[in-house]
Amino acid sequence: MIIANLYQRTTSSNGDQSMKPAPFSHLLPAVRAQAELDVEARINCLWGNRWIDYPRANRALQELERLLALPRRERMPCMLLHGDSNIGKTQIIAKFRRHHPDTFDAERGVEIRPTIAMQMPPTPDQHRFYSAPLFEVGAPHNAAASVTVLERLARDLLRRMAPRMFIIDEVHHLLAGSYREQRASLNLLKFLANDLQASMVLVGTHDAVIALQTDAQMVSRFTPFEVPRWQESDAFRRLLAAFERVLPLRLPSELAQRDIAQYVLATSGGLTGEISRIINAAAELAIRSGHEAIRLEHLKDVTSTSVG
Amino acid sequence: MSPLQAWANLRPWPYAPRPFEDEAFGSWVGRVASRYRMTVEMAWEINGLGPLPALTSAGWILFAPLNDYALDKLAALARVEAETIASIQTPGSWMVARRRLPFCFRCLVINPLDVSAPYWKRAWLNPSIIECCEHGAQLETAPPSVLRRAGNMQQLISSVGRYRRDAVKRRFRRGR
Repeated sequence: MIIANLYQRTTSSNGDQSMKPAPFSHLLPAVRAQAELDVEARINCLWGNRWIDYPRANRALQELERLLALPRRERMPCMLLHGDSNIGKTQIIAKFRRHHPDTFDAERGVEIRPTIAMQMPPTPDQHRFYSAPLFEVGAPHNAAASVTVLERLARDLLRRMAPRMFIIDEVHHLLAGSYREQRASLNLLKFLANDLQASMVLVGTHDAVIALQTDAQMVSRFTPFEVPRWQESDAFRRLLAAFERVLPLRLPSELAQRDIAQYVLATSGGLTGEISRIINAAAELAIRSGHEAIRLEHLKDVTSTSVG
Repeated sequence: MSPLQAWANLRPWPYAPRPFEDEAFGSWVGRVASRYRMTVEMAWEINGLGPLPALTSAGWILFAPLNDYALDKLAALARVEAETIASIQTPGSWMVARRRLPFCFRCLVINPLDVSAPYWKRAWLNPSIIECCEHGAQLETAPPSVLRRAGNMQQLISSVGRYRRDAVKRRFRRGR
């Protein structure tokens, strides 16, 4: 019924059918079909994974592509992707990995992985460190095995899988250990990068930069790449406009307007993840209320309820 | 629906040695366990393949025929056709207690298809085999305990090698 009304609105305001904009022309063509779904289905779409391009993320992706394309050699160049928590670092890595899917070599029986990503264990501990990639690649292993056994298994499997890039997220967890443990973990990272002849990408908060600074070799080898918080700018307004084009709302919200942009920036702290959460929550409210466009009061509503 | 489709949500192994055409099923499982640095019993349990079938005094090298559940799940984990695994299984009639198990040491340690993957031939589990079909020589034998004590294929190769060296020493001592 609502869809029919919206179609009517576009046809009755203009006599000539051929001159009228397509329904939901404020949305990307791929999203328009979603806008025709019922309330619950659209809300499901809203909270699903999606990617929105923005310049800093694209730059990070280009840099990752460059590293991946490098020929194997001793001392592969590495990267430290850092920024505040919830700034979108993990999303960038996930996007990059989607572009480089795993394949299976049926003749040799080996899964070939261009990239292997794991999380740094909450405390620097060799046993957990070697278990993490085994868990990540789905290797059956005896969790009670000694560090030596796990190390051999991990190195053997990783070599077979021939990753060109090894990604370690939450690398700031290194700081949870003593100075000695931090040094031991950093040595382990260097050893693994050399052993696999793969580029290593460490991902973490600004604490990760501090953790790496305890080792001069690491500083020289890992090129830092920061994903900063958003500031009020044309780029930020373009980000909001891009968001608007992927939300399954039936009417345009004009998110790039100054008052909305300033409000979103202030309440999100300029964190991409928080911006996304606020806009999604406001979009859900707009769908449920039948307004079909995000208004400032929706944003105020969702940010005031989330604070408590 | 093929086993691979039926177990679509199962996470397959990142690496699974391919079974050789003339390999014994126990040998293949033993090689998988070696690769993941665990015993066959542990590999069976960790991968949720159900209770380990009743084995003879020779242990896992003379592996009992599998039920459909274990066969299909193994096929999905290793990303091989269930028929391939079924074709290397031990026939039920061969599941008898032995005083000795025959093998050809040259065939055992030199695999021309992959020098890094020694394996146990299925034909050696046939209770009536006497000669090596490759070299025509009479097969050597080892007591089942030598094989049973090994946790996986890598350990089994070492055990058999050690047993042969010890046998030479024993013969030498007897000869003195």
